[in-house]
Amino acid sequence: MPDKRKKLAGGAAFATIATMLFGLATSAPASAESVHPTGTESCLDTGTHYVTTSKQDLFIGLGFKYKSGPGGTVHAAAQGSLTASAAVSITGGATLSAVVASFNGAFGVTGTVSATISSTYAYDHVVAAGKYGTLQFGNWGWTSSLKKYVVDSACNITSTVYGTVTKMPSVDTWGYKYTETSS
Amino acid sequence: MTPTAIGRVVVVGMLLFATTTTSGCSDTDPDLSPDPSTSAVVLSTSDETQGVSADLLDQVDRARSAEEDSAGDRMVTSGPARPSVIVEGGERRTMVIHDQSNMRLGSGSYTLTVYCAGTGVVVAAITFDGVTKLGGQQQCGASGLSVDETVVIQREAATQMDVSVIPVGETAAAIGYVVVRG
Repeated sequence: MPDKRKKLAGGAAFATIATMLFGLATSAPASAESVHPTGTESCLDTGTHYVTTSKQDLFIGLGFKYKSGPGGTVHAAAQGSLTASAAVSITGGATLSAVVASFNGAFGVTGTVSATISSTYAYDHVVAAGKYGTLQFGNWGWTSSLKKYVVDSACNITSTVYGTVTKMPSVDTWGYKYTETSS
Repeated sequence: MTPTAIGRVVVVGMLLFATTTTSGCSDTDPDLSPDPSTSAVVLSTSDETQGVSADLLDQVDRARSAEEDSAGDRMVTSGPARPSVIVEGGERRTMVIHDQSNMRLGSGSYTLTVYCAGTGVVVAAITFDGVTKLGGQQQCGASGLSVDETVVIQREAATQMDVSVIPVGETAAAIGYVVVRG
C-alpha cells in the first residue's frame, strides 16, 4: 500500500493557521507528530474520505422504452413514479451521502442520493424514413472517478482504494432521450 | 468535459447568477422489461404532484399541437407541456427540461419555439453536436401565452440535438416546445 503511513498535510496546516491567528505557539512545530501527539489529541481528519474527479454526463434511463418504425412517429406515454438512485462501484463499499457531498462540492452541481419524479409526460418524436426510433424517459446526471481513503487517529492514511461513481442523479433535470437505429 | 456538458454548465451557471426492443412493428409498443435502475412504476394522477395548474398545461399544449399540425413534414420533435415546478413530498422543486435526439439532422435551419404560460422567466437552449445557442430570457405569459423562437443555421449535418428549457428562480409555469426544420 503506497499511501500507508503517509502523513496528512492538513494537520500541520491547521496548526500553522491557528498559530497565526491566535498565537497558540511561540515556535513552529518541528514535525507533524508534535502537533498531534498520538494518544493526547485526536486527528481532525480521522475517518473515511471521498474524492471525485473526471465528471462526465450520464443519461439514467428509467421505465419503459418505446420503439416504433420504420419511419412515422414514436410516441412515449406518460408513466407514474420513477426513481433514479446513486450508485458506486468501489472495494469495501461507500457511504452514498458522503460521496454525494464530495461530488457536489467538487463540481458545483446538485447531485443526490435519490431523485424521484411522481409522473412523467407523453412525448412524440418523428422517425426518419426507413429507421426505427426509441424513446426513453430519464434523469440527466453524471458519472465520475472515485477515490476512498481512511485516516486513523494519528492522521495516517491507512488505506486508499479507487472506484467509480457509476450513477449520480441530478436533483432537477429530467427528459427524454431519442435514439435511431436501422433495425 | 464534453461540449454539450459545457453548454449545460454555461446555461445553468448563467441562471444561477441571475437569480425494447420490439422490432419490425409499425405501432408504438412499450418494452415491458423494466429497466434495472427503475425502483418503482406506480401510476398516479399528475394533478396531485404538479405545481402548475392543468389549465396552463392545456393552454400550452393547444398552441404546441397547432404548430405541429402546421409544420407537417418539417416537424422534428415536440415536447409536451410540462410544469416548471413539481411537488414531491410536500416540497416544491424546480424541474429543468432536457431532451436529446440522436439521429442524423441534415444541414439547414432549425427553429426552436418555446411556449410558456404562467409566472416567471425561462431560458431555452438548443445544441447541435455540442454547439449551443441560447434563447433570450423569456417572460412567461401570466394572462396568456408567451412564444419565443430561436433559429439555428446548421451548415453541416449533425448527429445529436439537445433541447433544454430552464426555469429561473421561482418560476411557476407550463412549458412546451417544438423543433421544426426551416
